[in-house]
Amino acid sequence: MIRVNLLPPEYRKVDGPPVGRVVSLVASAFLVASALGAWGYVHFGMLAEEEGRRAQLEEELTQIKQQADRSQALLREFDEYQRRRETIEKIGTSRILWSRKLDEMADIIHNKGDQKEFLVWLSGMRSTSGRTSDSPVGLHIQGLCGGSLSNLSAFNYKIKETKEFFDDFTRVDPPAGTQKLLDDKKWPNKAWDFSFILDHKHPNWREKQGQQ
Amino acid sequence: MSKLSQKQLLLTTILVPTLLVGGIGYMAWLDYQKIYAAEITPEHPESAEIVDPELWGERRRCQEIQKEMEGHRAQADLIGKREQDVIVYREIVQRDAQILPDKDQVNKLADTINEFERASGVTVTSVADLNLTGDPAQAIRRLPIRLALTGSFDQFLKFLNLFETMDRIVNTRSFGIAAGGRQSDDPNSPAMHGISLELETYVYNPGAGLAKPVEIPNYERRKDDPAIQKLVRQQKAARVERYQLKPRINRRDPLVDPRRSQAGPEDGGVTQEKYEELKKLVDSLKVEIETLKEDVRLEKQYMDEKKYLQYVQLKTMNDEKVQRIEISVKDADPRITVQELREVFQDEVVGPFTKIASDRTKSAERTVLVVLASHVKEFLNRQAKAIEEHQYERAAQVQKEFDTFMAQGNRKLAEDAAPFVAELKETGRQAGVMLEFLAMNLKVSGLIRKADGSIVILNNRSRKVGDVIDDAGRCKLTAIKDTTLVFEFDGYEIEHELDNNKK
Repeated sequence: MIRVNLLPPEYRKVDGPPVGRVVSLVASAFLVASALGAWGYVHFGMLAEEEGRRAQLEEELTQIKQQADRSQALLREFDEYQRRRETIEKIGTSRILWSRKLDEMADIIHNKGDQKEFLVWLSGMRSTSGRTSDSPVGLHIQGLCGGSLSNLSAFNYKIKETKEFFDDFTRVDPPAGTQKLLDDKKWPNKAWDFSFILDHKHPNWREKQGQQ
Repeated sequence: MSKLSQKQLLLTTILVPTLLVGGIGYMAWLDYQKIYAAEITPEHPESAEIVDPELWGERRRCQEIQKEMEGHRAQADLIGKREQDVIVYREIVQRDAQILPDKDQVNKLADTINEFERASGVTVTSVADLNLTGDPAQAIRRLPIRLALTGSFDQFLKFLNLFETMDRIVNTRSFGIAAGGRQSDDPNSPAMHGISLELETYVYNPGAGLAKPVEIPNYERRKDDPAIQKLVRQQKAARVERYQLKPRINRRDPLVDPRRSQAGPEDGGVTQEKYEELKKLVDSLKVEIETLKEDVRLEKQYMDEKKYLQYVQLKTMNDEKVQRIEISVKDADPRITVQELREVFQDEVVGPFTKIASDRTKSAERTVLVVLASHVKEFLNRQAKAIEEHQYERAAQVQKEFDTFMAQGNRKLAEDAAPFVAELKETGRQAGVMLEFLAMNLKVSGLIRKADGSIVILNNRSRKVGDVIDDAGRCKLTAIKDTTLVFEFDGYEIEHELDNNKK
């Protein structure tokens, strides 16, 4: 249908934009604004906050790391000192007072001047490496015992019987030897050639016994 | 350009905002991802498998930082304890390292060897191997010392002992001694043996093994803290065990043949006459020893039978005899060179005598002191004097002094002293009774003499013969005389003079 509007222009109805368009414009503007607002909140609010929190945590981490490093350094130093202490302790407890053992052995051989029980004189004495796991070191004595095998046995027994001396040893070789005739116009003219090894206990055996 | 149609305009109005919203939404989503990407939550535990930090969001990064911080915090929390441990162990090691030689002592090792050589008498023929062993980065390194020397057994023992008794530790690693001969024909000259000796000591370098000690604030103040000091003391200090070598007189060298010649006079041994002389000497000593044994047995018998007087006399004689025999044995020892006589001398003279002498030395600590009559008389005289002077307290005191005297040490009463002791005790009792009587403080204020029974006023009460004076019933009036009153007190008769109230 053809529409003719004969009204003068000032009396004509004004033509506005279509309602749909307006609604869509308004809605679009609202949506765009909301989206901008949401993005702004996420970006400048949440993200910034998290980034700030992370930065703070990183700073704390740096400080705590320094403390942890210091703690590790202290631990390393403590371990080093502990090692030194153990070494010093080991040095002190691994000591054998050979002057005492030799002095006691000389007393046994002298036997307060009694030459009837046994008459022994040595050709040599030396320390040896241990023969068993419970004996790190030994004492080797070689020499002659005048008289009969029973004199040699008496000497061997005396060694074991002298508690002060023998407590530091685990065992002594049994009384065995070879009889020799000594052609030197001295008395006795027969002697038994012997070689005994005495197995020494670990130097700190008394301490270990005390701890038990 | 033609204008857009309404429809186109409408479409544009819808499309452009949509694109804009989409774009902005995408940006918001990207920012959201920056925050929440790979965050480990109960709903998304699988996020833990994402290990690439580039894919993490801020929250995940924070989670990872917190995790790392916890690990470090556990270490950081131990700082206090570790500082304490380090302080304690620094002090302990400083204390214990005192047993190790310091640099000066190590540098002066040669001087020390020389000094000990002079002090002991050995001759050092070689010194070797003075090189530190072990890693230079170690704080404690070993220093071996090899020596070769000659000397007698006692000289070597002294040399070794000097090292083993040093304040700073020197250990004996090994040794060997081979019997040698005498340097001259003189049988009294010592035999010189060949000796090898391996010692070891240690050098302590406090700075080795540690890059740089950790700085501990207020270290000097903290190490003096009582709690720290207690922890240091709780760890037993390292110590160097030592042995004090005692001089051994007349002990033979164990590496020297002690046998004697069995030659006769024709071979240069003792003459027959000399032999007889020595045999006589040994026999006489044997007889003396047998006599001494018997006397000692008798001495013990007197003691057991409590015959203290005879015991004292015999003990004095036996002590003198022991001294005499000791001198004789010492004189005879070097003279008896014949082997068979030497055996007899050892078995039947030296052995028994040594035992007797040693038993007497041990029992000297428990010696009995015998109190003779003369000792007791001294007390008795003092007591008698006190009684004469009416000093009854003093008299009673003398008896207590005697009791105290007898209680000291191991005192026994001689038989002849017993009667005097009885007298002393009796007099002491009497003095005690007198003191108690005097304590009653009797005052006589009147006396009526009558044929059928006299009456006396005692302490304002009238008494007649037979009356008990005190409440305990110990004191009884037994007679009223003109000038005295007679009382019986605990069985003792006491005369009380009426004039001046004297007793």
